Amino acid sequence: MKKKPNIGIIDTGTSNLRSVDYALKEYNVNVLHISSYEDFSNNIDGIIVPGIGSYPVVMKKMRDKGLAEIVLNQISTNKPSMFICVGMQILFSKSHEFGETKGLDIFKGEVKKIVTYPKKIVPVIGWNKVLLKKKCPLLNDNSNFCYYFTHSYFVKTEEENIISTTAKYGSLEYCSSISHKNIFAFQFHPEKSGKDGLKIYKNFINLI
Amino acid sequence: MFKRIISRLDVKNGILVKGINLEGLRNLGDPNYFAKKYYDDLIDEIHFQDVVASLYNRNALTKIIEKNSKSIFVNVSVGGGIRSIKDADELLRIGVDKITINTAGVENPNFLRELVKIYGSSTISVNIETIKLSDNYEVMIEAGREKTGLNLYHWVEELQQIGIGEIIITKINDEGKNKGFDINFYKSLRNKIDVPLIAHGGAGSKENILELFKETNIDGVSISSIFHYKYMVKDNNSNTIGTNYFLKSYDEKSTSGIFIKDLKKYLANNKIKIRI
Repeated sequence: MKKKPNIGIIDTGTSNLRSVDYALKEYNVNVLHISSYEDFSNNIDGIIVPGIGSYPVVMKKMRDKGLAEIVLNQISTNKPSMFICVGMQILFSKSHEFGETKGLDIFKGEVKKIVTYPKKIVPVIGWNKVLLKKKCPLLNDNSNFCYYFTHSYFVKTEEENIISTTAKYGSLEYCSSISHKNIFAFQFHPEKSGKDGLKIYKNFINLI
Repeated sequence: MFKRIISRLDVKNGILVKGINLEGLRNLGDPNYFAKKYYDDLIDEIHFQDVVASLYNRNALTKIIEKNSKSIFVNVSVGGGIRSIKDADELLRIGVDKITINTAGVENPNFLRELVKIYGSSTISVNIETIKLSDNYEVMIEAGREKTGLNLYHWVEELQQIGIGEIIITKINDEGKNKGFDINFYKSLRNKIDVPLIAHGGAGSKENILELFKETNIDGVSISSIFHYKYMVKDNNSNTIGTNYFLKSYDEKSTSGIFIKDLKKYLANNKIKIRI
């Protein structure tokens, strides 16, 4: 019998950790919460960095608690990692939210405030369609490609090969998800996107 | 982006209630029952409002939210009695996604600044309850019971400077009367609000809601009565829901209210961008 996968959720201090927890528990997995470097163990099969929180606050926690190190170690293995909302944004070089803050710099790019012409409502809160740019194993059985977003900042990257979907908001078309080797990241919240969102968690677990 | 249909559940001592002009509360049943039904019928968001915000009530609400989070995978906002970072943190930790503030924000705008700085704009919304007094709109606090002397339009401007991510506005004069929204009121607000704007209070029919979306370019509507009455079931077990005269006398054949899927289909057929 296949062993029950162990999924570690990185506790950034401000996230909606519990919602991610419950989404995972729809499937047959063990869920562990990781608040510091000491909480990590090698039998964790996949990690998730949840969303919610401002960029500087989340990055400070990631560095102070050794959580950044866990993420960097984990992606250097062949185990899958998933990043949500601000969790995706911290993978990039830097952000302009409340001044300039350095990110994990795994991908080249900047996190910038959403600006559209003509001016549209910001933050972006609600459901939006995404446009498929390349295949992502976590999105392969989704039917509507409609997910729940809540953000004021977006990722601007030159690394177009990592983008699996974009989303359109007024004049702006931006990166709404990433699929690159064992790294899967979403600007939207799969745990808040109904049944199609849950499928993303199921597919993530199936990669283990 | 799709327009949002939000269901608002007013909770008192663990029971779903509904009033008129934010007063005269009726017991309607178990909030979790309604929330699950709404989720299954494609509600876009759920908003729980703690209407008394006493310690006893907060514990009851915590249990409801914890149960809710286990089976409902849409965005959940909670408002009512949130006065400290600790209050916000506790709610976010049990599965809440968005914090809604009214009284504590009016009393101390710095509290709002602090919340925005920690959690980011899109996690913090402000729920404004306002009442029309002669030609002025005044902001009310404590679930619409207390005046503040604060002008609605000044408050709306300040909230945007603070960086609040979303503004929900209830016009108390229309709340719970099911007679439709004050279109000109929301139109004038839309021109002054560059963050998401949600209308609450007054939805009586699908036509009211269509008119609101057509005329005002609002981002979403928060609905209680007309969903609650449609999904309500007769419950004779008074032990589970306390004093429930209204529920016991409720006529199941009553045709008031609308199913979420029917409302959404109607709006989509009338060219409103709605997730169906």
